[in-house]
Amino acid sequence: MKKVIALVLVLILALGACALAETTRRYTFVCPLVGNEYFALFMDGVKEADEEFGCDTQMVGSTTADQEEMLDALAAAVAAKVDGILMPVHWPDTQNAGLLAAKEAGIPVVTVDADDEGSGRLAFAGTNPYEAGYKAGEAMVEGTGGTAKIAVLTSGVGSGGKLDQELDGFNDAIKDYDMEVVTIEETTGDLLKAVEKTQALVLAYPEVNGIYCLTTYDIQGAAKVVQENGLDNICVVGYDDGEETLNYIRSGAAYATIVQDPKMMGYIGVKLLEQINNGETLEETNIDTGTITVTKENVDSYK
Amino acid sequence: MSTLKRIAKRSEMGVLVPLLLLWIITGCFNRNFFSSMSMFSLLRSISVTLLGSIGATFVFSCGMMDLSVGAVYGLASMVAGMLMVNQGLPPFVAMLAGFLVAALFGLLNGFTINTLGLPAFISTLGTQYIGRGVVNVISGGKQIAGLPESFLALGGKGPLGVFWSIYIAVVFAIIAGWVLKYTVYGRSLLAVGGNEETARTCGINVHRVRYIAYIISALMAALAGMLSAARLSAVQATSGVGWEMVVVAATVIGGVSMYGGSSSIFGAAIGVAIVETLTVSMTMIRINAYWQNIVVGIIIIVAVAIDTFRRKKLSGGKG
Repeated sequence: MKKVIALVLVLILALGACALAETTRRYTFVCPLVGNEYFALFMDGVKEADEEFGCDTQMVGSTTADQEEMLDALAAAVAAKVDGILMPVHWPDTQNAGLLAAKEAGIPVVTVDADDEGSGRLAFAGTNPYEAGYKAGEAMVEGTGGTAKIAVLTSGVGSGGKLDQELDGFNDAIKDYDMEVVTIEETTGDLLKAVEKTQALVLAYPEVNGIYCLTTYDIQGAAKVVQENGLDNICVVGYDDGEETLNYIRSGAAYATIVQDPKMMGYIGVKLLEQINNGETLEETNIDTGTITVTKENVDSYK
Repeated sequence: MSTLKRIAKRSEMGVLVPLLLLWIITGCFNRNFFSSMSMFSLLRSISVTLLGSIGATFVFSCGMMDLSVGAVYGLASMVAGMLMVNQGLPPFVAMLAGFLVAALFGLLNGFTINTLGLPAFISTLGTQYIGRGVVNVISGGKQIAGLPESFLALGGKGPLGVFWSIYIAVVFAIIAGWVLKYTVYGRSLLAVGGNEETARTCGINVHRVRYIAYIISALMAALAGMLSAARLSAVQATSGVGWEMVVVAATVIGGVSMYGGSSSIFGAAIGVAIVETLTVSMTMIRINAYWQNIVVGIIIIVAVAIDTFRRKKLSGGKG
């Protein structure tokens, strides 16, 4: 038994060594939520670019947006001297030091999805979070007629970075109206938690007529409760275009979703690393992959 | 009077007090807490977690631990969901496949502990990683939506307007309580948890007892995962992440010892009710999200402390 296990281990190591010996460029994407649909779409774009440019990008990171796990994964990528790193900077204060260490080690860094210039990155591909939040605010104004008590669902309170910038944009868009945020609830990005929190908050805050959802599954959780309980007076606005989210838009349980383009972010991220490694001069170092507001009107035609 | 005293001395009463206090306090802050919508939704959350806690009670009773239940919850629902949506299999067949995969994980847990002799804590942590990994590999991280209506009905209401998951959890709780208390297997389980060597000397097949406990634990997790998927109309690749800690915490709060030799499904159910109520009541009481974790932590410690002091008092201060 032990001999068999030892043999298998040796074989795995040997195969790994063979793979390392190849000359293709190896990139690492440090992902905050492995297993999340948004980043699965991101990886679709990465794979497309890998095939086109003949490179190999590995996804590592955390399944729970754990910052320490992400930093460990980043440090391991730097130690492995990969040819480039892709990473969203949601928490500049904790992440920048690690990314600057990569830069010092001569590894090019491209930030994706969420950016911070203090990270020493050479380029960024993603959505402008303030703009995305502002669009969500505009949709909320439209959906509620400009009078609203709003509950916010977010994966983690006080996480800072991108989510805060989205919330800033949202608040700026609604500030001239009779609208205010009455509570912020934490869902850890989990669909079941989003349902439970929404169920409790509609009872705890009967005055709420708008729910602003910051993470992918939050909009589905909120819409689910609205649909189940016939709470037609509540306007749900959130992000991304998972199939289930679009179904809720069609049925009217959710009013609008701000759709980002994670696949494009992944593709452009790898492309930028390739261009940097080929010594090309980048025409643009801050690439906005754009957002689009999807409502019942354009849900079947926006793509 | 003597009947009342007997009830008051039942070990589960110690955790029932904090639960009732929690309900009363939440209800005082917000009367909507006692509305039928709120209560049914709370019972629905309790029912799903209770299934996991029933499994944990079996595993704890024989002195073991199962950290793979969250992964099995996710994997079984993902397998069933993918077979229904991508392969068009009927829900019954797809769910059977989900249970089969879960049972294999139960067997794997039993094998690593019985045959390889590994500590349960670390080997089920290993199988947890394997389960999570398989979910990510087969799903590519993508959500499965568009589940068939007949499957989604399982997440809805049954007779008398009560959710199916509540009926299912109650039935399984009664069966589990009966098995633990009145069957040879139930007593063997406690014997193994009490003292493995003595149990072996008495002719109990320790390995078999543990295999069955792990298979039950995995099957319960799979059932919980599928009921949850039916409720949410979707399966996400991350579903069930961290669920094992909720299950372990709820079961321990309910007074089930992690060191084996004792079991109480009723206690586990109260523990689950406390944990699930906490999620809802923090929002109901309008506690700021920044403070919620602190309050939850304090309540858990107070709940277990009340129970511990009560037990000490009952045993004449010998603890």
